[in-house]
Amino acid sequence: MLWVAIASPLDAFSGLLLSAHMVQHLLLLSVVPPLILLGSPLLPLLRGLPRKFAREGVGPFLTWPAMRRVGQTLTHPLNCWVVMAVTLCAWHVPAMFDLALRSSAWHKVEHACFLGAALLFWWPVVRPFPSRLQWPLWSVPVYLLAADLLNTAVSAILTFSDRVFYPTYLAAPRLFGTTALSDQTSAGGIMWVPGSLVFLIPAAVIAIQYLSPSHLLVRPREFNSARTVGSALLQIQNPALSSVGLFRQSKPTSLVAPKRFDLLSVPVIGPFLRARSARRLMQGVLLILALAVIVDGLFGPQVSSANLAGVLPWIYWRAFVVIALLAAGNFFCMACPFMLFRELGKRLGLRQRSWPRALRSKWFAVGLFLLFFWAYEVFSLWDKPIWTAWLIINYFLAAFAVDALFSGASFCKYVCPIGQFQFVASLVSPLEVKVRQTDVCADCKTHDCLRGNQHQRGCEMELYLPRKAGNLDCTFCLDCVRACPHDNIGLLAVAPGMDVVRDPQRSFLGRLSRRRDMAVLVLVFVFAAFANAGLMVTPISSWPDRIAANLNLSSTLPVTSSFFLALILVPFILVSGSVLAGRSIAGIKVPTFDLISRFSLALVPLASAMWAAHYLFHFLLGWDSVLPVFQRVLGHLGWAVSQSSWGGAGPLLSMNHLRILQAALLDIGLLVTLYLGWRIARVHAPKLRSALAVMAPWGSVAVFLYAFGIWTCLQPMQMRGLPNLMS
Amino acid sequence: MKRTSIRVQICIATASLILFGPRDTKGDGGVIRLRGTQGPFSVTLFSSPDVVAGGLADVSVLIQGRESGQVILDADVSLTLSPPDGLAMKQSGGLCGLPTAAMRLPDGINNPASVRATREQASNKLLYAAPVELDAPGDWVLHVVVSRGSDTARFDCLLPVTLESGKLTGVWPYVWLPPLAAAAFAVNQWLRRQSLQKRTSQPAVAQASATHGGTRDVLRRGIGP
Repeated sequence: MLWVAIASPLDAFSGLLLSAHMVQHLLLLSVVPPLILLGSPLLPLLRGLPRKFAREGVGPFLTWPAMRRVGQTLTHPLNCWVVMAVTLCAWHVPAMFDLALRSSAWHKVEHACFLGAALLFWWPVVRPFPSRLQWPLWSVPVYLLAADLLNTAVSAILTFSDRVFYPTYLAAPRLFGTTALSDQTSAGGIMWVPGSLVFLIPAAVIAIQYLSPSHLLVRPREFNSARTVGSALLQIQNPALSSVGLFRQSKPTSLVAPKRFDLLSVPVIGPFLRARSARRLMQGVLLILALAVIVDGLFGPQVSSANLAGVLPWIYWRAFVVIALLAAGNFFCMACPFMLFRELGKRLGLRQRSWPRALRSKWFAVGLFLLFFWAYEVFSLWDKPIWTAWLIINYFLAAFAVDALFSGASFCKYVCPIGQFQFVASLVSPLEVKVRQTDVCADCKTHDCLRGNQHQRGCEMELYLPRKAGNLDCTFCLDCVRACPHDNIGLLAVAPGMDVVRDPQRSFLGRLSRRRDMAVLVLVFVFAAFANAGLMVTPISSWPDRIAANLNLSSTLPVTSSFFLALILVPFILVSGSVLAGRSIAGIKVPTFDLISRFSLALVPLASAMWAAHYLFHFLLGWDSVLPVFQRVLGHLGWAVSQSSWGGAGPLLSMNHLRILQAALLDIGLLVTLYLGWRIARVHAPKLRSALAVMAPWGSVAVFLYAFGIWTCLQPMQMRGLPNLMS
Repeated sequence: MKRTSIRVQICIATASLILFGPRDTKGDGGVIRLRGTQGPFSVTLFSSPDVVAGGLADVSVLIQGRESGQVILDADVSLTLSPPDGLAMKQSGGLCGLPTAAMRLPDGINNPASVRATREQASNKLLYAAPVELDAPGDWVLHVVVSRGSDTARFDCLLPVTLESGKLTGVWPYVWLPPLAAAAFAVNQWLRRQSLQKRTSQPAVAQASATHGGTRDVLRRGIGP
């Protein structure tokens, strides 16, 4: 009905015919609201929320006495009647009605007013669960009749007037042979007859119910006490209570916590992911694409937008990786084609050594991570297909060499910068490779998930599943799932980022708060997100060029200085400074580095949002970029498609919608970051004031990064060719 | 000793790369607006993905031989822009209201309606590039004329231009969202704290409310409208 009222052709006619407009208003005032309220929407809405959020997030508001008073005042019959009457009369004043007809925005406001006022008006009549009856039942027919009197008065004015009230309809083209006055008369009739029936029928039904001796009426006192928001909330708080009194259910809810979502239990997807050949298939597809990128990068035109090496990795792959990480988990590592070369290296049968002890940390990977970002900015890797091709070739060679010479998954664990990016981002992924039932593992003596067995190798990353926490260092290879003889490992839904708050002792990794290498890796990940996006827009990217031009420098010094300033000095000063300031204000005694590590990890959601906003920008604007490139490649292979022209299908989202999406992503990122920061602050400073003191300086850094991200998203992207013109 | 040696080598290698690499910094590239073939030419046209009214937009063209696919580097490329429907082209000066539109070219180029794209202006020397400033939002039509010797080809494509002033207006409700959510969270924490304090000060009630009898009591008191 709501759709019919505001989105169907009825809405299109409302600007031409007052009678159509009146039908629209009748639906909004008298049909949609009672139907919504009859659905008792509050409890289903609460039930639809995650149980914990309903209990701890929404619950305190619903049981807040001030909120209860506001609710009582708002839904008091007198207030409801007056609001409806004022709304009805005000919007039928010619000046107001014409304003709504002239302006689409005001028209929406008018409809919102009608719908809101009508929801309030029908509240005392329908009394949706769990509202209380504030006046005796006999007053409801009186309430409805009074409303009908007002409706009759307004509709009679429209029906019997000999002049047109709303000039817009005088100027509108006439339809179906009507005049503006006859149209107004019809509109008045619609408002009067069906409009009155909507009030009179429920009034009659309620009056009959009230007067009928055989009808069992709910006593007001019982009604009052039972049907409350609080009682509804109690149902959510404890399902066992539903068996008490009025909340008896036909099927009692179990006290056992609800089963977590497990992707491996989903039909089709679960069996596919478990199959040994599934991973090979995904790796094979990515390998073919990687080979295509290499060949086109080496031998195709050296124009990034016209080359597979310029399009597939930098527009598609990056976006898909980030989407997968935020929506599910580390699926790129699962399908990583470099792993195939690793396997090849292992099968050569060379004498494998242990990875050098000095490099058994993330420091080497952090260096490569920094080097990659630096090379990306300084050498414009995105714009050089041949460099992209060589980068991928070198990646294959490195994976092959490292795993041919060293045992275990040394390349993934200690070398691969892409892997480190995925590991950090997967801290906020909603899925985790996790033990289903811990008590099953307590009885396990073989530990196949770690050691493997004769059919399946165990975890090469040396993660022992019962002590594994979060997604760090997990490549989603699912070897552990296949190795577990108890089928006790799944891809379970988890609260993103919450293991950062707990800071548990993780298998192989230990406590993250004690890992300096991990903290630096995370900080590079965080600040690279903003630096990489910032260098995309002219106001930032022109700085190094200007400095170089002004100082007549031909070396890379200005760019490099800016880069290291953004990725090393600024993070160090901002994060360490803010955490130290908070620590000293709050007067808590926690090792400084532990605190810096923990708060650095809390910035990951915001950074992930920035990466997503950046990469989705490229993907959503250039989602069809690969079509002309494939067209060209197929043309070279002798297909006739290259002869046809292609004019671009346009962006998937308009720029305005894209900016809204980017802002929404950053909003979510900031809120999750602040929440994690708050929880960490409360762990170290149980007192509210101390927690606020710890949180405030670091929170300001998070807000600053958020503001920078929003500002970056609002800037026009830097343009090709301009540096030469400017210099 | 061995550990130190590896670290030092990595540091030296990194520092060398950083200090002696070439200077060249750019953001990410444009999007393809057109790919077509005509006469002996195959043309691909790129532009900034986000062309904003009043800002400087770059248009780059890649010319290749139709049959060979070889990049052609000695063609003449001129760009002409037609304003969105209903707007007249303004010859000079700034934009005064929206009934007229202007395409402004960089200093030194006199003809305001047409501009020559050159390889010198492009950072990638395989492309012919020219910057243009489009002062009105809407769908501009870009005409590209490629000539080489006696061969000439003409290509047309749309160049959507957005209005810059609308940017923040579109997202400001979302910018307000975090402070509102933070305020709601603060109230939520305060309420939970109040509730906790109340419960600890009245242990008997708390205990009672945990039982069925207590639950009935809470239900009887009623909460909310």
